[in-house]
Amino acid sequence: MSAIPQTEEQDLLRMLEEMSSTPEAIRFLEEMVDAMFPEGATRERVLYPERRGAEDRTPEGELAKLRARFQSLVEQIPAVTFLAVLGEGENDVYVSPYIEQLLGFSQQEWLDNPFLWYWQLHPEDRPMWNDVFARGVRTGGPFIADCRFLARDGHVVWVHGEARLVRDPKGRPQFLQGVAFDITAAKKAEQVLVRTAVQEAKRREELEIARRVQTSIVPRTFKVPTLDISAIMRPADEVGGDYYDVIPCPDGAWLGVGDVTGHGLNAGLVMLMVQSAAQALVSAIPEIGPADLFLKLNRVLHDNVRMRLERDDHVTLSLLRYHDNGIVRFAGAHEDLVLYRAATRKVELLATPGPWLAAKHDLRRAVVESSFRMQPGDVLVLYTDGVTEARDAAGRMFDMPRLVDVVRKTGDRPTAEIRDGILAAVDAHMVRQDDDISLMVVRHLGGSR
Amino acid sequence: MSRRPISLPPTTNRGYTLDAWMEGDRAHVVLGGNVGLDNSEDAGRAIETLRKELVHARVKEATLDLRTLYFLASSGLKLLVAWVTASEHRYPITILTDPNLHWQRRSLSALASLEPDYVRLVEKEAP
Repeated sequence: MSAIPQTEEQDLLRMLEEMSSTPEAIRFLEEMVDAMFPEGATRERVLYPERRGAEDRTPEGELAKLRARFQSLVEQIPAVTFLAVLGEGENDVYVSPYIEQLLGFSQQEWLDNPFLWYWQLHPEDRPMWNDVFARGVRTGGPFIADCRFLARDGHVVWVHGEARLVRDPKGRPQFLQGVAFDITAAKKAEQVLVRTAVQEAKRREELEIARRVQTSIVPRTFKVPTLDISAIMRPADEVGGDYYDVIPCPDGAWLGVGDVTGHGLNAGLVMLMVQSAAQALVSAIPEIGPADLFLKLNRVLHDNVRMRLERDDHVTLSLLRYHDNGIVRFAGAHEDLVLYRAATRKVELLATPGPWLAAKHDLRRAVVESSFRMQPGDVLVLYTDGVTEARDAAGRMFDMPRLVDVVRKTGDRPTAEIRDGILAAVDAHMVRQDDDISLMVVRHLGGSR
Repeated sequence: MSRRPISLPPTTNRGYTLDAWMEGDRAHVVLGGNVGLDNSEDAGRAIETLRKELVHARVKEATLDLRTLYFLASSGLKLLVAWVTASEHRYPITILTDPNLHWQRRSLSALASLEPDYVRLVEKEAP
């Protein structure tokens, strides 16, 4: 197999002349140049440089124009043009000088070694190339492929190649001619876009899992005979790790409300751990009190969050032990408890002193147990900061006074109506939901079992 | 006693202010404005840098004035937790709070409860 020696200019020119004589070849070249030089003036200059000079319509003049046209084309376009002679025993190839800029090998190196292009084709792209080539030969082209080449220094260059078969008047293939563009920048941009899209899809998938974890773990029904309970959890797009729970026990129930500081799947996992560990602890130690439960839960959560998940999140959490005589003992820092007194129709705010869960391994000195007593008809509202920190268009938070106002106005109604009234007020206030919204409205009905 | 400012990373998102300086071996930090979803990352970097600077400077005591901090997102609270519970260099921290700001009353008492020997809350209305 021999390359076309550069010295044999006449052979090359004859080849170009033959090639260019077919209307198909001229159309192909014009399309190619149109794609690269959309401005008409530039296109003219590249394709028809002879038009700038005086017209010479002699056969020699026409040939000179032809040569000039191809010379210009080959040298000016920022792409590699190539052709291969197809014929029995013929293995001549031609490649334009731009190849050196593209892949670092000189034009001569490509001409001397007709296999060089295949060696430099990225191994992972060879099967694809073979497929494209086989299909193109079968159908007569065009051959179109985006593939990677390895430059002389080893870096990857993405190339978009297009080629066509040029046939003689009897339909026999004469040349394979084509052009190759450097599309590395476009491919890199495409890869970034794909990577971003994949990351976004993964994030969305994670959030969906987190949402399912969070919403599926909250109780569906509340079987506490002395309580009327209505609750709702509405996760934000970026799931915020809200938690609420009702765990019935022989003389009342455990109520829990909290919020993990992080967002997304991790927050959902932490919330799941809180629920599972709390449920297990109150089942295993029925007589446990709120402070002790908080401390035991903290040991588990602190180690899991800090050491296993390697996160620095903590959980605002209040655990309330409700007794059916109306006494409620509680521990752990979360939002203020909102207590509607049915007898006076007034609202009291009860602070939840103490520490956050999982903020520190040993919280024995920090945990405080407090208590209050509910009278029949009194309503306790537990909520997360998605309620109080919901913002309007001016950035103002819904805040405590609005919450208290709604509770004061609706406190005598069924708990579902109180819940829906708060939610409606929050919805009317906020421009968009940035955080999970959780609400639990609990009425002490009085009368023990 | 002369004030020596503590250099902090430039803020790219307005909405909050953070000033810090040393007077002898005592650090003074004033964090004000709003630290919410839109600027908590930026503020977090600054607070974390500040925390490390104070460790590096081996401060003996720090005052953290939050009286003009109208809102602090939970991500900011996480940084304060990391600050007060960090064990590499312990020093007393006095946090000046405004009792009229609901979030401060609710959250800063929980923060202080984590380190009762080192963190003290002082209620004082903003100047």
